[in-house]
Amino acid sequence: MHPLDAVSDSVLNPRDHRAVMLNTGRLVGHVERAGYSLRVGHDLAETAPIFGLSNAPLAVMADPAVHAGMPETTLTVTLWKDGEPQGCAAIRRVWVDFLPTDLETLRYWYGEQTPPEGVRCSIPDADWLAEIYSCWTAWSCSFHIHREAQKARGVTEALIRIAHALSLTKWDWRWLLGRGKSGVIARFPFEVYGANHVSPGLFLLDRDEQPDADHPHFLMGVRRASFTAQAAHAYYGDPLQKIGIPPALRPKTEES
Amino acid sequence: MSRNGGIAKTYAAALIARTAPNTGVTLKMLANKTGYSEDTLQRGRDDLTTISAELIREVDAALSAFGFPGLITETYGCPPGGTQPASPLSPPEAVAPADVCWWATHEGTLHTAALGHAEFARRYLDLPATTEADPRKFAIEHMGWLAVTRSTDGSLRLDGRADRAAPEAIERLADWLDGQREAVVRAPMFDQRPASAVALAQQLRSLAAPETVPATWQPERLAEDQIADADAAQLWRAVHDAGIERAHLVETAGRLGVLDRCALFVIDGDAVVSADLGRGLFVDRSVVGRNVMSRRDVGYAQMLRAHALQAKAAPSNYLIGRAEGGSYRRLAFGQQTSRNTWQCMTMVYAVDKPADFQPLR
Repeated sequence: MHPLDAVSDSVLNPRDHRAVMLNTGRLVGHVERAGYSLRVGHDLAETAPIFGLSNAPLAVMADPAVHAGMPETTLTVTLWKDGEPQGCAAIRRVWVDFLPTDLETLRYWYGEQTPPEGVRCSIPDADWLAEIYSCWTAWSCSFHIHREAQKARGVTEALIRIAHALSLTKWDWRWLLGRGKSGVIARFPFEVYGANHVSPGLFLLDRDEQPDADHPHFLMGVRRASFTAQAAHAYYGDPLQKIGIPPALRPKTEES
Repeated sequence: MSRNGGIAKTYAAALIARTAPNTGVTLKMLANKTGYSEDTLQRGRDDLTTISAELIREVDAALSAFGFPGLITETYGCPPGGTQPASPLSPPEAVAPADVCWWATHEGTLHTAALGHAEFARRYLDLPATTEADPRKFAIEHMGWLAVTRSTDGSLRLDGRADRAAPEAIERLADWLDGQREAVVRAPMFDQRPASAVALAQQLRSLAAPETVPATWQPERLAEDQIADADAAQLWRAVHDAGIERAHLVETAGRLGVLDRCALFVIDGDAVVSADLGRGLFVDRSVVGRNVMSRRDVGYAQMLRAHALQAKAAPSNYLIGRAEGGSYRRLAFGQQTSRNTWQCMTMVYAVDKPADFQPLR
């Protein structure tokens, strides 16, 4: 399905919806003018082979073996050129009862499935985690973009922003959660909770990973209200603007 | 200093809308048709030389022949689609009959869509010509635009989404329709017979008016013995025994076996989200996980949202209302779950139970 046809009923208020979808339309236009096409789907089986091209381990939330079916809570955006896949983004919507507990038991990732032996997750002690209670969250850590596509100006930024904007419009999640590295988080287009409060390496799901300086992973969260304001900003619709909080919306520091 | 005074901008806008790249008509084509040099046409458009009424008339005639009429009327400030003065150079029979398209956009402006609605929306979004998207549908469904088409018989057709139209587009179009008193308008978006432009303008304005929350519901505290429903009374007692701030609402309802009759909402600021619906409720389950304001029945959604917010402000209220055919009560418990979020659990039961009563959400 074409991304501009992928949203039928919106959960945003009409004014925000218009702004977000206008940005989305412009991002899609940029990608298409660069010679790529986009497809939106609801099946992780479509994205798993594309993630496989990256030679990186498949994230649990993007693994169709763990999360089979469930099209109503899965959103995928794939990037194509001349019939060849060039990248993809996978987002899942998950209900949590109480996030720290769900993380600890691994239920957040594995649902009712039993996690493999040796997989563990150390939970950081952060105030913002305790706020996530009885709500939908959207997990959005999985992106892969082919090296050649990364060279096209603005296509990487557009793919990430389109996937986020569609999930914002389609679902009423309260929090967007993901795992990221400190350098990447600093350039995210929204106010990110967690990055400044959580020690690196505490958030591990891969059994071979060890918490050390080479694995500076963070659990991060974004409040919906914060994200909506930024996705509706004109900055968001310009893929040539670097991924980052629009200057007008950046939190004021004491110095400023 | 402007050489052409008040018409400089309107002439330039009208000409630009009808020439390349907005249409396939180039200044060279106009020069060939009118006898004026391309340079003269360009300098006139850019307000660098004086343009005569004769030039405007001939350019209008040439553009009409190419299928883009209306330059004179727009230049002199007449409403788009207004009657053109008769011109010996452009007799009506020389002008090919063609539909004329406009968009009323979310910016509150009325644009001529010389090449059709889809093409205008495609260019507005900067989509390539090869796009597989449907820009017209996108503009109507997601940007709140309203599409107007004037047929060759003079009638108007209005396309849009009543529930998505942008207030700015509605206001602009309603103002314009007020000036089209004699036009007959077909508006499939209202699912009705052709109406007069003025009547449709009124109908459009009613769309932009805010919906009012039904006043039939009032919060009221009742004593336990006034709760007519046994399950509801049991739930009320259990929650109040534990204390409204400490009671585990979902667990309590589950333990009592009444969870199937309850609905759970999460409140984050002013947003009320449907988190769970009991299996015993006759409700479309696709509303789970959605903001209640995303429901199509906006009036009911507003009421539901108001009840949840009232429960947040005054925990353990009874909200009394009158359903069609009989009255029912909504038992609502509000509870803070974190610094910013609340949850609200509701149970509805009938008081004067009509034969066909179905518990609401």
